[in-house]
Amino acid sequence: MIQVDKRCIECDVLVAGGGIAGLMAAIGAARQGARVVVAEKAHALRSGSGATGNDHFMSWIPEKHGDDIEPILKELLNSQIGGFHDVPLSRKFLEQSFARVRDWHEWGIDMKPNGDWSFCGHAFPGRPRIWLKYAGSNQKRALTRAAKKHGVRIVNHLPITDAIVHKGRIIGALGLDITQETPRLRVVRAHALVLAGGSAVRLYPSPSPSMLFNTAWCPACTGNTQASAYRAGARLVNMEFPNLHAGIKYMERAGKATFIGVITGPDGKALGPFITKANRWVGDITADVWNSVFGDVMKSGEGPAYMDCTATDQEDIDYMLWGLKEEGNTGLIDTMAREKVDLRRHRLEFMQYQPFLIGRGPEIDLDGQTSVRGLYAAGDAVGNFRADIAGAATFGHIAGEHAARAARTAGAFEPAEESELVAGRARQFGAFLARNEGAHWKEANYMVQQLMRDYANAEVRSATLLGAGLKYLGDLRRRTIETLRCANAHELMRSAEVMELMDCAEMIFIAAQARQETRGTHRRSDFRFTNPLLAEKFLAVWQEGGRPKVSFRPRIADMDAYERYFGARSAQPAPREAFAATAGGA
Amino acid sequence: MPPVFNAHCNGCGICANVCPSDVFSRDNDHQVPRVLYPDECWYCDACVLDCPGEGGHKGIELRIPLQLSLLWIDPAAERRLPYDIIGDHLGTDPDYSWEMPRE
Repeated sequence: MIQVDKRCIECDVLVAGGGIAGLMAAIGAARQGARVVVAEKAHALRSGSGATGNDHFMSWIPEKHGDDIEPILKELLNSQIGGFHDVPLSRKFLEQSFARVRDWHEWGIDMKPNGDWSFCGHAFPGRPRIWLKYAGSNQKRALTRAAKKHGVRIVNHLPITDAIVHKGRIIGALGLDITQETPRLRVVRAHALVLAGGSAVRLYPSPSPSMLFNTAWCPACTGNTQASAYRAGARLVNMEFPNLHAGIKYMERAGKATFIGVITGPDGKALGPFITKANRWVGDITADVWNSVFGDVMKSGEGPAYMDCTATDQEDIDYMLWGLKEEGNTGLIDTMAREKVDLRRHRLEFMQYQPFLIGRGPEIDLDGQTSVRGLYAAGDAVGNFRADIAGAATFGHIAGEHAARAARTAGAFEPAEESELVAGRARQFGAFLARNEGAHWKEANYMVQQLMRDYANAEVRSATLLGAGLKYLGDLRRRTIETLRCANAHELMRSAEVMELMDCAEMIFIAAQARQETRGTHRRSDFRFTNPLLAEKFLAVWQEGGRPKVSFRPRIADMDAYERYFGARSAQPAPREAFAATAGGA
Repeated sequence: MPPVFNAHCNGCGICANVCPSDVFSRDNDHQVPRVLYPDECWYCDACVLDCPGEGGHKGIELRIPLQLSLLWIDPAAERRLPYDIIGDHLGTDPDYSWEMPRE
């Protein structure tokens, strides 16, 4: 049995996740006068992938870049995170990014640590620099304070497990109260829901066997947004493309961008063509461009590859160590000090990590809304736009604003607590808690990772491998539901995360089967070529009547194309009217 | 396993409250929290950063496990073989070589 808390939380806008996107969505909504609740799995002061800091905030600052947005937009789309953008979203993001930079600066996050707006890192020599360097170590504290100042109510230790949809529109969400040893379900009635659950990590194995939580992005981000959106019927895009990331060998929780050095082979020679000596303005972009460099040289035997800062000036080394602190890598700095690693003398080995989901997930429109009315998504989980922390901040704010405006026209609250979904989850979670024997959530998590590594990896895929993997995933899901056992609230939260990971895995298997070509990191041995007919096409996956659907649609390049695609999407029968006609009848 | 409390912990419970991975007990009883799920640590350092400690000392520190040790090389290292070879690289023992008859 699991108790359902009788006290529903009521708000205009519920934000699921108190990370960067979530707090900014909450602030955006509160600025529109909405009553806003942020439901956070851990604690807003330190949760999510921006927990202890960050290094760069992509933005267009006209006084630095000039008034022409086009070169900056072009640079964004050509950058390491530019691959999967519906361009009107990227444009809107850039237009509003500076306003958010100024917000942050005003709230006490130092966006001018060099005394002026300064752009360094991730840069190509001789090209516009678009990554604003900032000092992010206090960002979560500052944003939490700002959200509270705007009247946002933050409920910590309340992970949201599901969106509650009634007649095609959001009426609330289901939360899991983990403040006590014994978990309780808590229903939130809301007119709009902003999903801000971050990326999906723990989907593929960590570089160190047995360490599920050795991840670059926050290990508590397990595809909550993608899974909730999928279950709610929203469309997700680009799920078939593995995103790869590199950094310090084995210690995945360490960024790469802040290192001011050259990527070299064992002989000390640069592996890329860009630079032979790095400084704070231009580091080695080799791994951004050749993102498999670290794995490739290991497979070929030419490795290992190193981050080589031995030629970097001491002044830039000091700047880099300061930057590592500001991006939240204090654990690494302490370790280097303890192990007496001297970056002027020692070269650190780097590696490529297993994939995770970022910039793959729900497709949103210019308002941040998914294809489900009242359901918004922002941050690392969005599938048709990506600008990492700056994207989370800027489009989070946009999603919050529009969610608040939509909530204004909604009528009375629907009794979300009466939804069949709540009863179903109560039965399922209650069974997990009632069992005296059974599988532990980690067993299921490891099996998900094994299946993803072997049947949906970034090296080779095929219809037979993907088909087998999807079948085994189905078996795993059935066995998990039948045998999982949880001892307490913490374990139930982890179990719900594993269910989310299985939803993400399912979408990846399906989308990877449907994209019958090789493109980028999606490598099909049964379709070895890159098909020009599938260029500039996004593959959407969603479910309808319990059955997965897939469909290709064009990547949106301009407003005409945007109107054709998103205009048609929003012209579907207005669920709000249907909702008004049946109010109270859930 | 990480994290590790020391004598400077004042039992305030901030670490337990802010941990993104929920690895600590959250009893709010002004005792040193228990590390319930050490293998779920993200090494993010939030507990250490937010620890007020006592007398200017942090009450908690992060212990990085051996699997995550930094791997580095010293470019100035000698290019000497890491072993001594007895005989030559084909395993030909000079003591029994037919080319080198002995008196």
